[in-house]
Amino acid sequence: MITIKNLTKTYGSFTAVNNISLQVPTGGIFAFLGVNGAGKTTTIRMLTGILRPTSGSIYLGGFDLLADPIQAKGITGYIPDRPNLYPKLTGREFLYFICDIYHVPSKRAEHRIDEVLEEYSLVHWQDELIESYSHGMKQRLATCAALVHDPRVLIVDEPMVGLDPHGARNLKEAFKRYANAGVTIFLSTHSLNVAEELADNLAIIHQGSIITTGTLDDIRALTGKHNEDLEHMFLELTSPAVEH
Amino acid sequence: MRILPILLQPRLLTIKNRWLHSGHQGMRELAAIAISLLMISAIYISTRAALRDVSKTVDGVSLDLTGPLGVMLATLFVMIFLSAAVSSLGALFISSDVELTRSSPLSSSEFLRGKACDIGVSVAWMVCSFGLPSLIAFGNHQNGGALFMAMAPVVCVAYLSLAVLSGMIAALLFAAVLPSAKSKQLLIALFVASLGVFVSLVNSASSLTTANSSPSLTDSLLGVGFNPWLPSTHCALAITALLKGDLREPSLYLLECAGCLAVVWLGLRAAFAIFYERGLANTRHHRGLVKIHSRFSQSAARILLPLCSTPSRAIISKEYKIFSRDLTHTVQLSLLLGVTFVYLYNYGALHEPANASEDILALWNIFLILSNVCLGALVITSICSRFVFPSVSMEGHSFWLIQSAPVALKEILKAKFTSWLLPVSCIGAVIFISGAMALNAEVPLVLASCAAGVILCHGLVGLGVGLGALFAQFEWEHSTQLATGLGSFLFMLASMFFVALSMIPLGLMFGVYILFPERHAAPYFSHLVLGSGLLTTYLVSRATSGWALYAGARALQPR
Repeated sequence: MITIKNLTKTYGSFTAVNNISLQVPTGGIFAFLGVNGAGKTTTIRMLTGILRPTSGSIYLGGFDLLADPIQAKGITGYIPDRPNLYPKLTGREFLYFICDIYHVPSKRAEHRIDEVLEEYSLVHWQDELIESYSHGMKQRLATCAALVHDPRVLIVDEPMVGLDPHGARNLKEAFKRYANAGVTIFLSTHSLNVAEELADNLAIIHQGSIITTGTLDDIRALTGKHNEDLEHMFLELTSPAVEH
Repeated sequence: MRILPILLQPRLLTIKNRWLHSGHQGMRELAAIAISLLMISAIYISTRAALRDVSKTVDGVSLDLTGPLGVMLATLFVMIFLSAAVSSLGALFISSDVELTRSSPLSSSEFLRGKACDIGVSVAWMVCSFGLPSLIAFGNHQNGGALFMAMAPVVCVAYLSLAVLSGMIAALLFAAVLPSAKSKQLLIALFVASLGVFVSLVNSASSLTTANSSPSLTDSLLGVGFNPWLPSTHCALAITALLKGDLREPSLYLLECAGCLAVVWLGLRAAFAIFYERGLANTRHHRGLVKIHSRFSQSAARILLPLCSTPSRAIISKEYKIFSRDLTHTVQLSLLLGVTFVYLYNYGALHEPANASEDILALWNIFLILSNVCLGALVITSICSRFVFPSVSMEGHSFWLIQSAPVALKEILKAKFTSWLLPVSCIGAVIFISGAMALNAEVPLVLASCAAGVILCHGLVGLGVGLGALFAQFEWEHSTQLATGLGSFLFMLASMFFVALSMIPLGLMFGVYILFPERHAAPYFSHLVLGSGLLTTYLVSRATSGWALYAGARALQPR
């Protein structure tokens, strides 16, 4: 579903993402892990069309993101780490806006908006301006916006930031549901517990390059630590002393 | 006690750091300063010119300048009062440092003093831009010496400080009743109240200053400057005394001002103590007074914009909703519409040259019609520079929504262009028709002026959206920063060039139409002349907006 080939992004002499290649199968949750400054957000911004790669290609659902961005973006939903939304729109108006720009038919849009608002407990706030929402509510609304148009690919950057324990649990369960329904979820997170709990496959990026990819068992086999949890393996793999 | 209130230090440090670390933005800052200096010079020159005209009367007796000075000071007081009220709502309740300062060991007295100074600095630009050049113009007109130049600003600042503190009291009172975020109601109420008070003063002054049954508007306005109940009159008297070298009157006035300031400051302390906590709680309780019906607004958008594609309709309706719900737009639009009214009023006061030949009269009429279109276009340019040019940048940190959406950037810019074209064209049509009617032009010329103006709006809005995308800045602290940068300055220049270029076909069109009246009897002559002129102008306008939108879309491509 997601194919990344030789993707590179440079800013002058600095290489933020260095020739990475990934294959993410349809359905399931793919965790993208890395320390601060590793290149996760840059990769995600290229996947969502916000940044143009210096070289390489990205395919989303078979559509080339660079050659056919409209089609590729049309099947993709994106939940950013910081949900900067339109403060002067109400929650519902914002979802109408998203449905319209994603060409969701109006009857379907009404139904989906009611569904997602109910799912994320925003029904009582739907006619309030977004500027009056708490951070957690904005995060939930951004999640609604990413899902309201039934995407086939969901790209998520640090989804648990600002969520209370109930919200975090609900979101994890929701991700599992979507993945079982065939949505491909590309999840970038610092929270190794979440990655360990949810991910079917994962990749670790370090200093702009992929250092390992595969299932948790694959990584255990790679490191030779068959009984270690992901945190220990991650810390070992991304240790400054280790050269890749 | 510190010399500078501690809460003023972040603002001063920000100004200092902006200069020291401006980098590539230095040009922008310099351009903004250059424009400000131009504006100050223009105000000084126009005030000197106005004073020269006002000073002359039919019987050669020069007019006491206390009147005009009083009017200027009264207007400045109202402007600063309103600005201080709005700034206070932000600084006292919504500002990002409120939580930090309230949780710190800063006394409420120090908090209030710091905020008052901060608000005073934030409105000081009005004093520097409007008050200072006018004051210097008054001084130079009356040959005021060094004493005037040194003391007059001190007297003014003391007087205008009353406006700042009064504005803060008004803000505290309103915030206790209305949530600060709902300050639109506050501003409209204040604006209407101020207008009502001003009109009442003008009406009462007109009956005091003249025995005429129908006094002129000028006499009525000047009467405000002599009203003994207004603080502006006392300040004006003190300043005119300085012009005569008298120190006694200004000194007494400063003592009077100090006393008033002390009383108002005590009133502010009391209002703060009584109303601040309630206002702060109202701010945190964000749920609106007026319920928004989201489904209704969506249905309305579908009905009112049936011809647009779904994404375009989404963007256009979003623009209108955000515009109508943003307080700063309301303020700015009110001020610009006020300027438009002044422009139309002055235009209507133009007279034909006396005893002119027919040829001269014909040329005068061509000049008037052309200048109506040209100057009207420049008024539209001002509106576009404030609202249309920043429209792309106004996406701010939310721009990722559009970048990641399956909508071409070209379509997004086209939707923004469409959303602004309709209201700007409507305002433009009113300006151009009113201007032409004020000149008593014939009906075909009125219609042609209106059509020419609307065509120019097409080019100006396209330039605004396109150049706004070319010079987009998404990292802004306050939306009013967007209209004062280098990009905005270049937009103004480009607009003037576009308007000047459009004057060529329009000048030919009006010239031929007015200079050859004998040919109007020929079939289709007037249609041909007006039609070809308007068509040429439309092609120029279309090419300009097309190029600007293309350049803007290219500039917004992901990098």
